[in-house]
Amino acid sequence: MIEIIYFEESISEHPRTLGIFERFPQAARVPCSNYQEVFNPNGQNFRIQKKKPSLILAQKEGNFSLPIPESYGVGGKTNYYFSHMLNCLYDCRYCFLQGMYSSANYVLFVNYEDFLKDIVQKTSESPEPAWFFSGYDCDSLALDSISQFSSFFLPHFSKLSNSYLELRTKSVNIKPLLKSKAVPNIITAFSFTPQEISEQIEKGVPSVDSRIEAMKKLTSHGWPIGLRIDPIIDCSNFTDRYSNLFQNIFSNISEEQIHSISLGAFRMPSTFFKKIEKLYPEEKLFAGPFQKQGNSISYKKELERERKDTCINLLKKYTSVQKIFSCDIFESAIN
Amino acid sequence: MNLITAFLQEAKPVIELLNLKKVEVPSPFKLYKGEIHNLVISGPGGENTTQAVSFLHGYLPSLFTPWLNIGLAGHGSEKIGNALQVVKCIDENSGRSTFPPQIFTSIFSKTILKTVQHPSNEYLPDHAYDMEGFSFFQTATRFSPNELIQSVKIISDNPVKPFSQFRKSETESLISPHLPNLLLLIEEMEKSAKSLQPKQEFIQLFQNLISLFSYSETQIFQLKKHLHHAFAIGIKTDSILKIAKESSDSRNFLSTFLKELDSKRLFS
Repeated sequence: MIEIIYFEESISEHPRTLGIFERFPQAARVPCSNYQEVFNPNGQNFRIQKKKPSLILAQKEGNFSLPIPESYGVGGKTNYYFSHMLNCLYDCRYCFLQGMYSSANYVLFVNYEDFLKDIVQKTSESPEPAWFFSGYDCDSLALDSISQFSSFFLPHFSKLSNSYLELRTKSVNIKPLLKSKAVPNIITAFSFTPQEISEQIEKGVPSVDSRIEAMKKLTSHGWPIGLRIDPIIDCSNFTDRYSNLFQNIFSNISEEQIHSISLGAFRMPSTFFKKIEKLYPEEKLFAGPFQKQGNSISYKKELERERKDTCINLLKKYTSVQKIFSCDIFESAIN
Repeated sequence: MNLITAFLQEAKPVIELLNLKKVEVPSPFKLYKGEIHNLVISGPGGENTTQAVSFLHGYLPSLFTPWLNIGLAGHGSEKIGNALQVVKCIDENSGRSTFPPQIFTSIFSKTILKTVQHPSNEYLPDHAYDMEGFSFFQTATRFSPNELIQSVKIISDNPVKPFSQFRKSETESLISPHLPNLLLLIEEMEKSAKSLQPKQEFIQLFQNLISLFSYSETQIFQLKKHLHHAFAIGIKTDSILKIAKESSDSRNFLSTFLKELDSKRLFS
């Protein structure tokens, strides 16, 4: 329930702003000159703000889509990410957003048309299919009822045959997709950790079973899906837990409808990690066997490779290695 | 919990509610204290407010203390006697704004507060007016997280009954009806502050371990980190004390403690 809506004065009459005001008539409306006045001040505490985030409506200025980090793709050569929102409905303890932002408030950029213009231009400039990843700085679908993101972007991407859209999510809010005809170049990619891990460090996230159920519904309507085993969390009974997870997924979902599977072990810029560790000093996850590698915090190289290889070997029982992609800071064990 | 009002009349109902007693201090500000609540009366205006907040923090320094400003204000469109929580505060002098994050389930409606230099009979709709708010936020945010710094204003004047017609004797009767809701807000703020503070068990163990050896600054940092990890993993206090008692010095203790942690770091 959104109780406070901050909005940039320049977009007070934007149709998307007005639509959100209408959907939340009880929310207090607070004008600001620029969203950063509310989002960026020093002295905010992400942890207590996460208990009750407010919504900030803003206009994105430039940098609508940016290149993704090297090795984060799923087969494409031209890859961008774009963020119509900042911050997420869920509260995953490993999430880098807690370290990147000082506020847990949701920022929604209402000027979707500018994002689209940029996407169309980049697509036309790309000789090969261009990939656009949504869901790096937010969950693509979790707050769709507020953002109406999918109802705007889906019809446009269905016409952009030389591009792919990835909707990365842990949400089971798939109604907007089920209402439309399946679009082969839109991949809904679900992130997973084993259920026992999820219960401990992914607050508010739908259960593994309900996410599998959502995937099942999507695939039965012809939508391609992706699996994102990211972050891989080292844990006791590692092989059993990940084996059960994959068994559960592949016994419900046809391999043919899985576009890609990407794997990445827990990793984070060390400045973010320090900030998050300070916010949650009693968090069990952060007492894990991590070490600093350059500017990142991650598992030790050997441990990371071992865990990733275990996952790859488990996945090979169900799918071909061509569908598996590694997005780690260390070299890929697949290639 | 620190509370601040500009005038004694604004403070009186709160002093009674929280059973606060006057404390004699060598300061121009009147200070009232209870078991967990402190209240300072700043006097009118931004400069007095800045000094009063700084005085109270200096007198009772703490990292995660909630701060609540309670006071009267004018308003362009609200009825006299309504209580409102400040969601944005504009300093008329500098044009700068601050946005106290709203994380509490307080039932108070929200308002934009404009902090002015002098009392005025000019009112904009949807705006409250005071002379202290901006200085309060600017100063208190140096000492506590922004979320724990809030202000509630009770409307004393408006375009129908402007400031020139306000009588100080009305102050208590304006504030008193809101005491139950103010108390709920105070309790919620205290609860949030408590969630950020280290556990008593942690503090006691840390003090105990510090007293056993002499530590360098770096070692104190390491000790705190080890202790946080130990509490996260679930290593018992007795086991940590046992390691310490069997160690010859701080270096030996931290090294053995680290080995113990490393053997138990696997996430379950």
